[in-house]
Order: sequence, then structure tokens, then C-alpha cells
Amino acid sequence: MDREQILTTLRERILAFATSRVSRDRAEDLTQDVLTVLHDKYPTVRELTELVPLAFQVLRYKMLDAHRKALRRGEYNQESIEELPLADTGNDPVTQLDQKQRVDRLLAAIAQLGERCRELFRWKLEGKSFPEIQKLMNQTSINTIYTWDLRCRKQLLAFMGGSWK
Amino acid sequence: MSEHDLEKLLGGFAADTLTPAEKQQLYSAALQDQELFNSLADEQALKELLADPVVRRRLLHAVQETGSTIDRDPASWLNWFRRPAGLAWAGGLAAAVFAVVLGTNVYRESLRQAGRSVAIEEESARTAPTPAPSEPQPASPPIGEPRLKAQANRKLADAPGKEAHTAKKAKQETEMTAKSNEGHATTYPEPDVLRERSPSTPRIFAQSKEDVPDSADQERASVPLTSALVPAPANIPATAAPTGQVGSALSARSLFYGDTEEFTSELMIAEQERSRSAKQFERLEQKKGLSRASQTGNLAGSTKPLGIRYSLVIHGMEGTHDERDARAPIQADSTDLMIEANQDGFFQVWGDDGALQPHLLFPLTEQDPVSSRLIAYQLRRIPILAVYHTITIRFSRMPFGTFSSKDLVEMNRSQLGQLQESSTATGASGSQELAIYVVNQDPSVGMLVVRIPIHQP
Repeated sequence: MDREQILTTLRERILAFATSRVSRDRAEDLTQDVLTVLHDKYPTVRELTELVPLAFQVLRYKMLDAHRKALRRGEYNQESIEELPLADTGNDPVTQLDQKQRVDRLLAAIAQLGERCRELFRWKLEGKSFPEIQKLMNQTSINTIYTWDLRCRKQLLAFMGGSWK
Repeated sequence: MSEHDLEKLLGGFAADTLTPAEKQQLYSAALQDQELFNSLADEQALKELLADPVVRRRLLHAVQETGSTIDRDPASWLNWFRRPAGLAWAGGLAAAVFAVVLGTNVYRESLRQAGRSVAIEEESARTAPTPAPSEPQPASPPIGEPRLKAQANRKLADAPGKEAHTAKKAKQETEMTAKSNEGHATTYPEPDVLRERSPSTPRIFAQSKEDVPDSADQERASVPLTSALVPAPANIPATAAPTGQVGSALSARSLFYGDTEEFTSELMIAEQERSRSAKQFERLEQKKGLSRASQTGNLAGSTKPLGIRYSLVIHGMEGTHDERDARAPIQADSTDLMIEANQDGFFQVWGDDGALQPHLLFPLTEQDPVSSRLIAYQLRRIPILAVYHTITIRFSRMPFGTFSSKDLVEMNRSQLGQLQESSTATGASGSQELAIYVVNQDPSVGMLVVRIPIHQP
């Protein structure tokens, strides 16, 4: 699959995903913005394993950006733009607070996990791949590790309230 | 790997720990599957969080700290029990403990049963005319020994560590009982008829002189020993178990000698059942208008079951061993009924010759008093003519009233719940004694009726 085919497929998927989150018009703008970034800023990235996660990352940034723009425009609370502070180039306090809160929630959720899930999560945080974790946990089948990880992930997501955000 | 299985790679996507092959599979599938794509897009938030080295280090530290904390936490035991292996261990341990407890109980029960002389005595009485000393009976006392000595022997066998203390205590109790028996003997002398006959009457006890401290028995001990026969032991099982029997392990002899601890444990179930119907029983008694209130109160306090021990003595066999079996005919004018009770009470002896209604043999008159006092563990000798087919002994804690037809009916049906056991012992001079122990298993029952069929020549 070449770059053009990947981008075409990505456009369809990104549009469908954005439409499920925001309005159709805004979703189309969002998709266009993501593809523009991929086209203009990363023309050399051609591999599927690099292009797709890059697309996810750009998509997330664009969605957050659109969210902040909507806030600034007063689309949510209809406040005057004059009262809003000027944008900072670094992480704004809201983003910092959001990240801090997410980390705290994640820490609380991890504390509720079982021993096996914590162990599995620890190996992953240490950068171990699934085959390596399989050996570390003395399992003969890697599917066991996949299954355990899927269950632990769902458990962690449930402890987080159903969303990573 | 199917699309469903590819979902399992999502965890690796967030932690960025997927291998190149896994990434290829996952992203190719995501481009084909919108749901998987949406999941990956949602997972991006976590991936972004975990991509921050500071956050990652913090999480790692938290995971390790939580693990070590939980290891020290008592709740980790609960987690251990939740595991299948933990449950298996706990279940196995519980089963092992249960098996050990059960095995210990069974072993104790078997030891206790082995200590009893019931089966062995019965066997020796049936098979051998002169019973050989049975090996499993070290704790069982000889027949003629006082009951306290027998209890002391049992305790010695059960608790070897307390031998000295128990033996000393038993000796003291034996001496006290001997003195008490002497007192009883002087307070309640035997009737003149018996006293006249006493010097010429042979003694049936197989016990030695030093075992019998009371004066009455010493007087009898001077008489040559002869054999004593149970009239028809073949008709009576060694441990007869009529209706109402609590457990086959109960021994009439042990109950007679007041092994109340054993009796209490054996009767525990029966007592529970009896307590349920206790109120109904008392209501019934009140309806009948019987004035047994005080009597019931007295009986309620008594936990010892009523029991008697009897045997028949054949005269004219001085110096010789009676080798006749228990079915042997009883010669006229040479038979004495020897009776002994395990507690103070009143008794009557009735004779039935088959032709007339049973009539009172002892006491001699049907006028007042109609019953004779019997002191606990004091032997009484009643002369019996051989013309009777059946001899009936009535023993009660309360004095008997005037005989009525109701008593006649009661005599025929009062043997329910009674435990009988025959016992054989060899005396010092080689004489042999067969005695029958009859005990009512219900301690609240205040009367015993024993029917003794006599074989006619």
C-alpha cells in the first residue's frame, strides 16, 4: 500500500471518526486540516506503521485546537472574546490541569488493578513488547498475554470512567 | 490474527510496545475497520499521556509502590484466597483438618468401645464354662469389686498421667463407701427369715475378703463358695436392646456402676429429643391427675439410671465347681435370688407358677409394708422355691402401694427401655458367677421390672 492509498483510506476513516464526535461541517474541516499537515509537513513519511500513528496524533491535536478555538469564539458559552486571555505558546493552565487530572485518575485506577494487571502494566511502561512480557511472565502462548492485556485495559478504562480523556 | 484479536493489540499501541509486525497488522486492520480505527483514535489520549517521560516514570513508580504496599496489606490475603490455587490450598487444608478431627474421634470411640467388656464378657459366657481372662479388658474390673474401685481402674487406664492421684482418690472413696455400707447395714437389717438362713446360705460373691469391707459380706464370706447361675441367660441377649435403647455401645454394667459421664454423652441425643416432648408429657401427667409433681422433681435431679444386679445361687455345691450350663434345671429348696441395686429404693419379688395370678413372694405379707427397702450396693438374698415359672422383681425409688390390677399391667409392659447384660466372673476359689445387670436407660424412670423365667426340670 503506497502513501496515496494510505492517505485516501485515512481520509475516509478520519472523517467518519470526526463526524461521530463533532458536526459534519467541522468534521470535514478537521479532516482537511489533518491531511494538509500530513501532506505539507511530513511528505517523506510513507510507511504505514509511521503514517497512521502520525495521523492519529495530528488528528488529536487538531481536535483539541478546534475545541479551544470554539471556546475562544464563544461557541460554548457565548462570552465576549475581549474577556478571554491571550493565547500562550506553551501549554495553557487548562491543558496542564487537564493532564494533571488525567494522570491522577490514571494513578487511582492503576491502584485498583489486580496484581497481574499491575505487573503487565509495569512491563509495558518499561517498554517491554508482548513477546518479551510473555517470557517474563512464563507463558507459553502470546495469546494469553494479549488476552490478559485486553482485560486489564478494559478494567483500567472502567476505573477511569470509560474514557482516557 | 482475526479482527477481534487485533483489538488485543490496543494496549500495546498506547504503551508503544508493539513489535513492527504487530504494528503492521494493527494499522492495516484499522484502515479497513472503522471501529478499530475509532478505538485507536481514542487510545491516542492515553498514548500521549504515556509518551511523557515524567508521567511514565511517575506511573511506574506508583505501580511498583502499590505492589509492595499490597504485599504488606492484609487485603493481599483476600486476593490470595480469590485465586484458584489459593482456594484449592484452603480447601485442601480444611479437608485435612476435618479428616484429622474425624479420625481422632473415631479412634477415641474405638478405644472406648474396646475398653468395654460387653462383647467380650458375652462371648466368654457363651463359649467357655470357665472364662479365660480376656485381654482387651484391662480396664474392666472383676465382677465382685466395688464400683468405685472399678471406676478407679477405668480412670487409671484412661489417664495414665494421673495414676497416682486417681488411685489415691479411688482408695479414699472406697473406704468411705465401705463405712457407708456398714452404716446402711445397721440401719436396715435383713428380715429375720433371711438372717436365720444367712449363716448356712452359700455366698455367691466371687470377690475376695479384702475387697468386701462390710460386716454383712464378711459374715457371708466365711461360708464356702458355690456357683451361681443365671436362670435363663440364653433367652436374654448379653446386652439386650429392647425398644428405647439409646445406643448399642451402652453397657448395662457400666451404667449400673454409675459411669454417668459415658452415659451422659451417649444420651445427649436422646435427651434433646426428650426435651422437646417434655412439656407435652407434663401436661399429660397433669391431666391424669397423678400426684407426681414432687416425684418428678426428685427424679429430674437424679441423672443416674435405675439399675439392679441379680443372680440365682444354687446350694449344695460346696467345694465343687458347677459346670452346668445356664439352662440347667434349678433344684427345689436350693435356690436363692441375690439382688443388688445401684441406688437406694424399694423392691418386691413376685412369683408366677402359671396357675394363679402372680403373688408376692417378698416381703412375705401383702399388708403394710408391701415393699422392702434396698440399700445401694448392698446385697440381699431372697429364698426362692422352684415351683415358679417366672420370678418378677419390681424395684422403685418410691415405696410401692397396695397391689392393684394396674400394677399387674405395668409389670407386663415396664421392661421397655431396659438394658440387660450378663456377666461372668471367676471367684478366688475357682467358683463361677453369672450375674445379670438390668438398667433402665431413662434416668427419669423411677421403677424397674425384671421378669426372670425359671427353667423347670
